Amino acid sequence: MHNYTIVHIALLSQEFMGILGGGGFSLPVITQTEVIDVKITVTDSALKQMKSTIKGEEDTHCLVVSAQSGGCSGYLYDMKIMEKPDLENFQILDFEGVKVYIHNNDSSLLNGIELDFKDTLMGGGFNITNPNASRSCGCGQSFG
Amino acid sequence: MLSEESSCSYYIQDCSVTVIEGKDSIIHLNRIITSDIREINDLERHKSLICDANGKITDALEISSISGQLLVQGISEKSKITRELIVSGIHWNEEVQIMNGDGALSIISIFSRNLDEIINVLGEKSVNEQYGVWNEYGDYYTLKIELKKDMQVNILIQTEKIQDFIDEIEKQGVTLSSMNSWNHHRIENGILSNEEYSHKFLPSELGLDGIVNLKKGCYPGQEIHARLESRGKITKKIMRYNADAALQPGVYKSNLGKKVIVTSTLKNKGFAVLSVKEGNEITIEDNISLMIEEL
Repeated sequence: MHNYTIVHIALLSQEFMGILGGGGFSLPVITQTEVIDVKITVTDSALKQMKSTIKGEEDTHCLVVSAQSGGCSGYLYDMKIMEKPDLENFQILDFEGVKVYIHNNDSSLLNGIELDFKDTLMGGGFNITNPNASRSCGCGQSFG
Repeated sequence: MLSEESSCSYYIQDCSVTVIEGKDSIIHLNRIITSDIREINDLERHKSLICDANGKITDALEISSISGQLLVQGISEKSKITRELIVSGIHWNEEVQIMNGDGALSIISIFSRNLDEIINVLGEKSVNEQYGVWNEYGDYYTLKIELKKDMQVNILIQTEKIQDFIDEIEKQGVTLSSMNSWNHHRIENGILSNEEYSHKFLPSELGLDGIVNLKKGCYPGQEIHARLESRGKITKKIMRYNADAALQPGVYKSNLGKKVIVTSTLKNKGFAVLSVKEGNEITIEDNISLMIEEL
């Protein structure tokens, strides 16, 4: 297992704007303020797969793990190998040279997850176990 | 101007107001709700629901697209939970901003048997020709709604301007609706409120299948809704009742031994969620007889 914790906390700004505009009318913007230091676990098989996928592009690319609303249980996981995004608001975890990026807004939803990879034809691929999830749907992509 | 016999009344809606802005706001909200709003046009209003993973209703929404922003009205008691859900699920790569309109934006409903009476008060071009489409009119927006028995026009207005608006319509004979009068309007026209939604019913139990879209893809509760739809197992449904005695909200038992969940009441009338096996006339405890009809 490979554990890593890093901190990159950004302060979220408060802006004002609104519907029925004009005349100085504005509404307060709501932002997510709970940002915690993310700690995730990557299994040997997941790390091996991550290294293989990103091989040769470690300096420019990373794995972004994120969550968004939706799915049957409330939230959906999203994983993308992509060019490294701007550092602002991301926490960066280094697993033997492979960088995993997690956005601050997802920190409370994804803290403590275990990233695994199953090399099987049926039901294979990356799999996330999330201690914050009280339930997840059958396909494993949604949690709540 | 209204005659003295005007039957126009107004009621200030007790609802939460959230405004969502940004190029991804529709996609973002669409992932959470039961209906599909991807094709929403400017000034249109769509009804929708937020459900939990068990398919039960947690909030009932009216979503309007106004000048590139989404106006989301929900149940006031659920505003905190719903807003947390909307805010926490924004993908890092999406442009979405959530704004709190509670206390800053208000909705007033003016209702009457006759639409002309309302138009006489607000002005000739005050409402859109189409029902369910907002119309910008002076300092506010109006939305014309055709109900089962009444006509209703909703007014979206900045709260700081509400008193001037009320003064103006009261001058023209529109009267503030009491809670009883509003409940009478609701029950007559089949308008559901928090009394119904707070019981965490399934959409089909409240007759809201029409705002559940099983083809749009996953949303919280979709698995349950799809299963119910494919198996056709709807066991209870909301109905309007007229009893021979006044009832209080609560759970009663019919002479078939089935639950009768009374949600809204006004004297002898109200809404009840009951077994689909019940007939048009049922008897509950204390030998009270209820005449049942569809909403």
